[in-house]
Amino acid sequence: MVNFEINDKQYSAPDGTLIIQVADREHIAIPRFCYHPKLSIVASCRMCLVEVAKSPKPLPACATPVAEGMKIWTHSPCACDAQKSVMEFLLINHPLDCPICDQGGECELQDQALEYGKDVSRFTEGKRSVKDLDIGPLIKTDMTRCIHCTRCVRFGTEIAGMRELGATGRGEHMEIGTFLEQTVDSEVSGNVIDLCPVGALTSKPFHHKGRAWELQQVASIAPHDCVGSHVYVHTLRGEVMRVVPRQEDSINEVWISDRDRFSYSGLKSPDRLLKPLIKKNNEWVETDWDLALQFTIKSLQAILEKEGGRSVGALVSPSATLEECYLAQKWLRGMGISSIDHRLHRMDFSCDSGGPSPCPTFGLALTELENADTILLIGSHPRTEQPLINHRLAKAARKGAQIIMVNPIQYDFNFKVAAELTPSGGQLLHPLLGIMNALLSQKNERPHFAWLTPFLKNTVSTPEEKQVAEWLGRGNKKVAIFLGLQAQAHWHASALQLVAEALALFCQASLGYLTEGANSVGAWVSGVLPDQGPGGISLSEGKGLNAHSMVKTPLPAYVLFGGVEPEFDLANTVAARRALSESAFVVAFSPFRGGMCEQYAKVMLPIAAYTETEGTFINGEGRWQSFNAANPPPGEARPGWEVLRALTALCGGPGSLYSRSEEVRDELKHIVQNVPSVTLPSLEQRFRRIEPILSESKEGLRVVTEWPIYRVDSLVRRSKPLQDTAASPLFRARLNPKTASLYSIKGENKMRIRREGEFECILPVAVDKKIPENTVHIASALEGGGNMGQQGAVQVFLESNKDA
Amino acid sequence: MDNIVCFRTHHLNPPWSLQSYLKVGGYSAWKRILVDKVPRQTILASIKASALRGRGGAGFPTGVKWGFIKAELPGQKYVVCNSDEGEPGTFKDREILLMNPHQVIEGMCIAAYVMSATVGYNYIRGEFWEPYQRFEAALEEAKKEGLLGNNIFGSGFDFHLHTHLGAGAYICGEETALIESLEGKKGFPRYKPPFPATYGLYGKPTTVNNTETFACVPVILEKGAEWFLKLGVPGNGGTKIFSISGHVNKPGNYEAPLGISFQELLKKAGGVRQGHALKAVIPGGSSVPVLPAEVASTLNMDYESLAKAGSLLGAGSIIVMDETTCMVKVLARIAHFYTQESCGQCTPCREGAGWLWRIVHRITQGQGSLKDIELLEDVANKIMGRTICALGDAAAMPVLSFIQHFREEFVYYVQHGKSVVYSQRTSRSRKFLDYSGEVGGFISFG
Amino acid sequence: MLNWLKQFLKSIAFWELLKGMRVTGRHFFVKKITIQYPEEETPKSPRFKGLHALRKYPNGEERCIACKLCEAVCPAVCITIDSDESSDGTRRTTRYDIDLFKCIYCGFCEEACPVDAIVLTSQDKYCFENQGENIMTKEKLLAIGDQFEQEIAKDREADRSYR
Repeated sequence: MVNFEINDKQYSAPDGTLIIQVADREHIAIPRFCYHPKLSIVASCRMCLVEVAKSPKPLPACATPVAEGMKIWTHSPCACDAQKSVMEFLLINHPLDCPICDQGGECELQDQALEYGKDVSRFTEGKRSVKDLDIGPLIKTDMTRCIHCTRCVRFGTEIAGMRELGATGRGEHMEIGTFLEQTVDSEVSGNVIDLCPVGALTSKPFHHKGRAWELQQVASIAPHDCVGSHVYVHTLRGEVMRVVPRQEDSINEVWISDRDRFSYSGLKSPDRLLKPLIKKNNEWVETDWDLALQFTIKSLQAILEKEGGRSVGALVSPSATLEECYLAQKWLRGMGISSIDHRLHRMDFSCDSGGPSPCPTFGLALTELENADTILLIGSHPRTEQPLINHRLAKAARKGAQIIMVNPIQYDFNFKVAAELTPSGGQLLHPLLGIMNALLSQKNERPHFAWLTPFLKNTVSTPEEKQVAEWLGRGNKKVAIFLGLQAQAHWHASALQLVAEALALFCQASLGYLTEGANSVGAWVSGVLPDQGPGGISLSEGKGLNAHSMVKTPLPAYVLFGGVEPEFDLANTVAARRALSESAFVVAFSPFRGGMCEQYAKVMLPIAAYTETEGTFINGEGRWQSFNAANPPPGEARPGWEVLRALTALCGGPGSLYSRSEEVRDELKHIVQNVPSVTLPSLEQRFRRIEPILSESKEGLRVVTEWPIYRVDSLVRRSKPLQDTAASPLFRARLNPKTASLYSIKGENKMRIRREGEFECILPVAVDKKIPENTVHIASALEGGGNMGQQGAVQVFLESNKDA
Repeated sequence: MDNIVCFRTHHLNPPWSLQSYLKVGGYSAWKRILVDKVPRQTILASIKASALRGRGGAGFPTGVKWGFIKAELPGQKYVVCNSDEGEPGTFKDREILLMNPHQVIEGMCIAAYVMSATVGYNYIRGEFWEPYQRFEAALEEAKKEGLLGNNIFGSGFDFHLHTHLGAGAYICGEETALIESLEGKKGFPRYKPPFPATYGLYGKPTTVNNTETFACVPVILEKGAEWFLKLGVPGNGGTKIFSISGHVNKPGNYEAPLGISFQELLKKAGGVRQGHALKAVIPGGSSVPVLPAEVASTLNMDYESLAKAGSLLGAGSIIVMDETTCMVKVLARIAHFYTQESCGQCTPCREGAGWLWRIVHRITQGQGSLKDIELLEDVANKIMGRTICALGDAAAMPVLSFIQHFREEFVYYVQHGKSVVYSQRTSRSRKFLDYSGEVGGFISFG
Repeated sequence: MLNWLKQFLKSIAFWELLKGMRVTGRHFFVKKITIQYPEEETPKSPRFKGLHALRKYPNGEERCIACKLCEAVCPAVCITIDSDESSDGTRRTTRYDIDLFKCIYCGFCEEACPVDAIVLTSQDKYCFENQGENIMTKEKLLAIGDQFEQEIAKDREADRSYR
């Protein structure tokens, strides 16, 4: 701790604290441009110059640490003169077109010019102008306005991990830009919009649309991943104009991903469902809510009476709010429907019969994650799946953590990965068993794991796996293990989960799940599972079908809640399409129409999208985060929980009538607090169940699918700016060159992929070295990708180009 | 007294070969240090005692600088030689590298030994292709001779020296920008503190010295600190290479003891052009304040005397101007240089240097007003002392000093739209004065 | 006695009455200021705040750049603007509505406008016959601007040195 004076007042701060940090803490205004608390310090804008006793020159507050007995004046004539002269220098080449600049009203230069600027310029020469760049559909540039603070450059290097923007040229010819003419493709690139103190980098979708001062700001939670980023939704006259980050240092710091920032464009899609619709003679007829709800209930009841409780399958979006999830399962179970599930990407549920499924949380707080020493990620590409988890991983890597990836294909990481295991044929289970085996042979003094040995009798560890085992097995280290989206969607998902559990137990590590959607934990908590009720209580009777079985054998009726589009969202889209089009009755609760829904649904009920409803998301840390609606839903759309409330009432179900959504949440909270603890069957017992999998053949070609970053839910899929980015992949089968040559396939060929009796599809080939052998990698949820079946073993054939 | 330190091989043919250097006693200090295992403190003490001061411009005592590096601390340390000589008027390092590269190598070796650095870099200016080749050849010779590399002379001391060719940026002569450039980044000066002695190349303790400084080191250790100190005046040990350019009969590099009088130095360079009178002198390269003839004539060329006279010794680059010189146009040329060479990182220099040049340029175009002279001074004062590195000061100092000493000339130019020297010029000097535009060889800038 | 006589003379001569009539008598002969509206009109200051208009540049390009400063400054909140990028990439309004029922004719919008787009003309004769006509849309405002451009320009010119 050192004591010092600022403006003749005594303060103290820990040694090494910068003057500007103390000033910010004490609310002493010091102007600044290049300084940002989350970025490195360059002290280049010189706006924060302050007078320090015994220093002949004014010193930059952002780079000068406080010292014992230091005397600082932030508004003395010397400091003010320095600050004013820097402002004059900044303004000589800055255009004064604030009225047409999107930053106007929230511009740091404008604000500070008011205090430190002159009203008349002494610079009579011509101003510098710089050519604009086209850096993609998300960020609008106006480089003449740039004041060269290099915040965006430092953001790219330090946070995004991609050096996409840089300064070229020298002196007054210095320009910020992409070195070559290219787009900025980082998954968190939008943050430069907030960082830019002037209007050089602004939001392209928001370009010229509104003014900062007229927007209404409502705090909300981002709806696309399990991080639960805090955001502000800015609306103008009931329309969402933009989404910006809300600082929460324990979750998203000051960043949000582009997906969370720009997905709002989907809210204005022409696909919005505005009125309840009923299909009559294959024509959609607008109707009123009463009729639509009555019709829904009657149709469902008729099928239930005829075919029994297992005849209706309900798929709930993992991004539906907690209240919606809870009321949905309450209504459905009240109707006698037990097949409820939110795990849409999943195809292997063999674990479910082995006892209650664990709550899919991270296992540790995000702030702890960046302090972990070893992190094992299984089947995960956090950069596209949870971009802000990726940021925490990058921070951990920078602090020296060993990060190990076990993935079906090689990915580009923007941090140092200690080891990346990409088994052939997407067989993620085998490297894990190899690591387990190496760990067991490493530490013989753990007799209570001896039972594992017979399971690993066929496993031989590779040197790489032994190395990973060594990193994992070091004592006194903080180890975190995560099962990513691809592990959960894997054909061995249950086995992977068990082995990961065993690894975690062995290494005394935390085990976490990086789940799909924003509210997977919430869906688990509220009982949107076929065999578990609210609070995760196992149901002894009335267990239903899981998401995969629901479509594997077609059911007579389906309920789709929260914008679920089975042709994109389910693991097996072929089966899903068949099942839905063959069913007698489908009701879709969705903010959107369009797509295949119009073909198979019988009733479409418009519900509010995420900014339009209040609710709660539980993020991966298990944090309950409630938010309010920012704008009213369009047309006759109603918040989902209100629709479900009305349905429950119409059914005369056991539910009381809730007047506010908080009552729903509190009811659930009460249930959760009183859940008795359950003991799972021993790991050994559960391992028996996967024994046949362990002896399965590793050979053969397998399809591995992955949901691309901007195809994860119905809202993102309708956001045009995001769809226009370079991150939107083409529908291609990607193959290793070796595998391709094995089947005499070349890059320009088309390929026929087939699984006997299930599906067949033809698609163009891309040869890619990053794909391991025996793997066909295909992006799911793409337009035209509906005829792709689930992951796993397939046969491929070269398709002659003539047919194509 | 001449050519005894940096240019001591000049009388040999060829002066740059290893044989020539060995002949004058080269590498003897290096061998002695390694064989006798001379303690680091002893070497440091003699460097300190020799009053050797940095020859790059700032004149910081070299011994003190080396002492900042704690040799006994573990970890990598670096020695970097700054041969990015870009200051207009300066051309001494070029000649040292061309004529006596081995002395620089030996100096760097000794510095590395003192600071227990095992890797050194010589950052040579991008345009110095010939000196670069000469230095590389010298490195090869030294390596072959076992003067560099691992376990030199069986002493257990390793030293690897590498050459790095710059890419033509003046700013990379600033030590932290040079370090950034060496690291492969853009040559942006770093904010100091931390100084390179604690956080330098790749974040490791680093010493950056000028070529001439390193070249002085072997001689000090060979002939003793006392000898070196006595060459110059108290506090200013040794000889210095003065690069004399401009309106003299024999422009070039002259090695002379520090503290030599300006008149004597001028005599060495053959005096001012026949029939012309001295008007002004820039005593240390374009970035230092100009001195009018009456001040310059009485000067002694050492750090303190020049500071007292209101200028700086800088790199000892003396630009001599006679009465045919238009000071406004000289300033325009200098201001243009700093506009082009500002790195663009910090605001006052990036925006201010260009502004200064535009104002002076406007005056030279006959479109200036008396207010512009005040504006010039004001803008220059707003740059001074407010930038990350000294380039801002370097851009501002000439402006302030030119106006301070030659205000009437600026006023005349503004009022008449032409230079005062045009009205006085003789037919003989007409050719020389045909100065077109802001770029061009009005004065030889080395 | 004397007073009595004075009073008597005054009353017999209707002195008070004459005194009272003096003002009337004077005004009887003075030049009249009454204006015969609508045949005649009083002169208006160039600063007169009448009906709103949106101006264009002489080349026909609309001046308004949708900066929304008028909307922000309007104390009666009678201006509603939507903006977007136009086909030529410039910032333009897609909607510019002024509710004349709310407007208090303070002229702040004109003061705030950085490009002299929104102006208050000297037009003071207008009326509404139907619901909704009180909303001046962008089209109406531009039409008014076109119609009275010469007059507007003259008024601005007359007032220029005071702004």
